[in-house]
Amino acid sequence: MTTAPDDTERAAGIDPRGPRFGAALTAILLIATILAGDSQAGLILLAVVVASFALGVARGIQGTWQGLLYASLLRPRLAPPTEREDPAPPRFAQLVGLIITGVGLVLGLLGVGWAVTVFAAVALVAAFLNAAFGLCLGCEMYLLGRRLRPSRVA
Amino acid sequence: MVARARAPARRPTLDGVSEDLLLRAAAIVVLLAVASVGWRLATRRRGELRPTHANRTATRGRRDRRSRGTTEGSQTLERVREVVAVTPGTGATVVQVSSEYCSPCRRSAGLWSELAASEPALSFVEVDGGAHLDLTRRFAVLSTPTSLLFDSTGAFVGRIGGAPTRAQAARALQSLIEGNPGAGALIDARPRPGTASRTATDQIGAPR
Repeated sequence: MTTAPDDTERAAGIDPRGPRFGAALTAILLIATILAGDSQAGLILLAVVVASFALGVARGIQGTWQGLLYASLLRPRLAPPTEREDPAPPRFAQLVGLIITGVGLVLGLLGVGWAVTVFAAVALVAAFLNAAFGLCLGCEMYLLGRRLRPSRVA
Repeated sequence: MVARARAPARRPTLDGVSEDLLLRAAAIVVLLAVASVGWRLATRRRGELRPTHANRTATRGRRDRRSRGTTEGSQTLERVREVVAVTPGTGATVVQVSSEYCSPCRRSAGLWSELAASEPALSFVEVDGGAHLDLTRRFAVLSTPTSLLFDSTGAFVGRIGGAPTRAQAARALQSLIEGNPGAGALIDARPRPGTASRTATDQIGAPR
């Protein structure tokens, strides 16, 4: 998680509007997942979301299909960003998303009917807050997570 | 809640749309509305100074219940200095707790550094919360960035959650540095770094 695929991007920082645009697309997919619910379509939609998050964890947020869409379609039409962002925090958020939706997908595949809807709903709240209000999962969760593991001394 | 809505699944309504689908759509609208309101409530004091209990004259009740479990007597700058090197400011000291995956931490630290550079009475240090969990426990820091403010005696006066704006940061410091002539540089916080810092230095350095 510490090495970004693109060193120049890492040095300059990424356009912070990219991850928020990506989160909006993810939110739309998750809404479709919840509407489809416990069905074949719901499982497939959730699997697409899980795969997208996996891509984000492996390649960084700008390596996802949402990031590529932003770079190719939106960014050329927008003014240059006023500030730039370290790519590590959004990547951390992708990992959190992968864990949440991954658990939902596994439970759904195991036949737990409600799991797809419930885990997609949890992920939707995070993706929606990220897109609409700029929620920073790393800011809210990382320290809390570390504090909840008291045995692990830094 | 949502799962129960599956019971009458795919039963067509008058519009031909399944009742289950309508319930799910309604549940999503409610969920996002609740999330929006919750977010607004949780972040409405973001960037503003929240004084400690001891430092608050008006009893505003439930605020700051996070720090209730800790002894405020143990929350002093001295405790911070046991862990990290901080030069206490003659007017105020700001200790910002940051973490690894936190973009606003950088913005906030940049602002405090800039203010400290133009205000000699202000000392600023950034601490990695992940590397100093004991410190985050002592000061009940749950999210980052959290800026802890100390007065000239090293007493803990309050915290700022999230990245403050320049105006919010200046307002928070104003009460601490107001007895101090250099505060003028912070209060008049328009981006005039050259003149502002020179004025502050001159006034602080002036004999009393």
